[in-house]
Amino acid sequence: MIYFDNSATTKPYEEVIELIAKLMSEEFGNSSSLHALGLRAERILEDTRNKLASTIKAKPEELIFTSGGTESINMAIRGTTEVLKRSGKHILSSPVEHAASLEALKELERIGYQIEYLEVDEYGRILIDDLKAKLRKDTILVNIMAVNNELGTIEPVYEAAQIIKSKNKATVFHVDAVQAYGKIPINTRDLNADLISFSSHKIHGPKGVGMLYIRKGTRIHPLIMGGGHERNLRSGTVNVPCIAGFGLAASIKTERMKEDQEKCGRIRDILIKELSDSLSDKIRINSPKDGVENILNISFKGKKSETILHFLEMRDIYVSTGSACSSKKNAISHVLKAVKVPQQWAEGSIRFSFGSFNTEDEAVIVADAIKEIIKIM
Amino acid sequence: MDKIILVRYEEIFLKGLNKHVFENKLIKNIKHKLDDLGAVRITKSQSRIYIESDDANFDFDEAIVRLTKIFGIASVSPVVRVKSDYEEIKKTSIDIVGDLIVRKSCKTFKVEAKRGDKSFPMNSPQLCADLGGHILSKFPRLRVDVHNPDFVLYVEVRENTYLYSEIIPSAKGLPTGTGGLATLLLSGGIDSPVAGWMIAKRGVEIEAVYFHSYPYTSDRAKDKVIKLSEILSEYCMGIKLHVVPFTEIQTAIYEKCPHEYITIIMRRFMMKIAEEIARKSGSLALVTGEAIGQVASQTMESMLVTNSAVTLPVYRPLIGMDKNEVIEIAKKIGTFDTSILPYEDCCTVFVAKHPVIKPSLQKTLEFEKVLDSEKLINDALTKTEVIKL
Repeated sequence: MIYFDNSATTKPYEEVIELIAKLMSEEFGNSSSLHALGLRAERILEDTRNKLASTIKAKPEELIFTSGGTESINMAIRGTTEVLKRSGKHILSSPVEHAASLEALKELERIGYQIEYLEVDEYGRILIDDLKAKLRKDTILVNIMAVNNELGTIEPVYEAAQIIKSKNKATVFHVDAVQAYGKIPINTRDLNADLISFSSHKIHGPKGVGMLYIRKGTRIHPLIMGGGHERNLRSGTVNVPCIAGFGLAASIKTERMKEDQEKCGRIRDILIKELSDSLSDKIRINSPKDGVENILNISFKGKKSETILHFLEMRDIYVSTGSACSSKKNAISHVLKAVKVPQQWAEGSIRFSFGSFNTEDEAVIVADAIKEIIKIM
Repeated sequence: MDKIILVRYEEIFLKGLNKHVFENKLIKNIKHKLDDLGAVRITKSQSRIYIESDDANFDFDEAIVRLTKIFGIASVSPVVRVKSDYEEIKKTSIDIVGDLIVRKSCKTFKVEAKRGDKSFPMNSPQLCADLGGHILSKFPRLRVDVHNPDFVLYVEVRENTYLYSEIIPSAKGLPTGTGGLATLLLSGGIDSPVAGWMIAKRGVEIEAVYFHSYPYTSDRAKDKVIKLSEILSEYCMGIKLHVVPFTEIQTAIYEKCPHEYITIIMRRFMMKIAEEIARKSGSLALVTGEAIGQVASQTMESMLVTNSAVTLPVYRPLIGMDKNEVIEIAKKIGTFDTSILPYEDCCTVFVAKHPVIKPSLQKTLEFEKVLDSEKLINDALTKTEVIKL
């Protein structure tokens, strides 16, 4: 099997699976229980929190554990507006955000907030000048992703943070780092964001776990009420075994980040070269050259991406598409639409995304497979 | 006092001397469908069927849901049976009415009584009046409304007395297995499942043929068709689904035939393959969901051309129906929600932008000559997967 769909999800590291299984069996206590079993679970939880905090140079108390990226994003957005609703109703974001952000914002729009979307270039990168133009003193929240999941584009979040904070320190800046964590450095001392969302299963950790960084001094209203866990900010019995898995995956991934990304870069380059050489003007590279090395989005002229996907799966190769076959013509992803990829290219767009387990040999095999498939189709 | 289910049929009445053939088939089908719910006793009496169970765990509600989907049954009623003793009848009536008032907050009622046993001391009108009066005395808030009551209490006095208030309309038609076997061309769309259901309703057993174009269409499209077949099989006594690999044929047609004729030629291949399958299984007709004018391949000229590919009769139960009428039935029988799931059964690559709407048979035959039809069809048949549902 060749798994080139790591931006959708990743296979957990073996050590992570072992750790989770061990903890589920031996340390199954509820971290809120008063007895020794609970205390041991709590210690594991706090050790993990420390570990994760150090990967982003944050303080442990600035991290809250959630059920994943989507929950963290929702918590950041809804939690902020709930606190700042009296200060204003203006929110800025971009049209290439993940559905978790876009849908949360749509819901806010429905109840009276004003959401404005920044202009982006042909790779989905926000235009800094447009940010400067649209920012207002009464903007309560700016929501931008650090890395785009479909194209791999790296957004100028460090720069944006400076601009936002110089306009108004009280404007909350939320960064969706779900695809960025472990791929580019996230350093909360340099990145002036108030809230940052993370996910475990994109970095070879288990699904169902994520975290939200909340800068000391930033207030948000909890999304989920209950027993008061995570300092009252996120109730619900804490999933200690999987969080520990997340912590282990994060330390492994951030440690091998540089070499992983370099390898991904080589895999990406092989694909680009092989496909460009044989298919030249029949393909279009949608990803920017300076995007993350582990995501490559390519369009095949006049082909249907879902068909390519199924032909590849027949060869045990797994990728993702930017469009789904459907009788509805608007089945093209909102990201491809926002960067204005022409329809006949967009319908044939495939996303290759690499991870720790992929190799350059795989890139050669996949390139050959694609060349064959395009010929048949 | 026994809780039983009363099953009524309609058209079987008309079968004269053959009535018991249909009745017995219906009873056999009912037994099969209720088999896993527990031990049942099925009796027929005076052109009705009674179902009862001594099993305390027998799920009456589930049994009724299944019965309403069995062809041949016109309506179903959950019934309470008591001795034909007036005191018992009165007492049971009160129980039933009391329960109804709580469950459905009814304010008006009427009693409809039928006295089949002439030895019973009261006649029907007397029974209605007296029982009605008794009910009013126990439930002073109720009123009688003989025109539009919130509920009706039916009382049938025979050897025993049967009381009920619900008459649940059911699938009607004729019992499956009394009509022969037909072969349905099933796609994932709204029409073909409805067409299949309408023919099955006349007591015909159905086998289905689905043309699968992986990888141009996904396995999800195939799952969708399997799901539709499962829904249909709730009404019949099981369906055999033939999944025919169609990719090679589609690509051959696409590569070698003029663009506007590819749809028509594909449909002719589908008909031929379905007919081959029908021949092998002893089926006496093909069934399609075609309706005049719905799409380019369903104009009269087009249907003439596709029909001439086969010699078996082709039943098109939707031929004169509007889309809305078909959708209504699809919703009623439970296939609509599955049909509208977006997994295409034919990749749009193979759909011409301007398909011919008045194809000529002569031209079609000419265009088909370049294909090795026999080989393509035989290959497809050899690789066909059969799923029993």
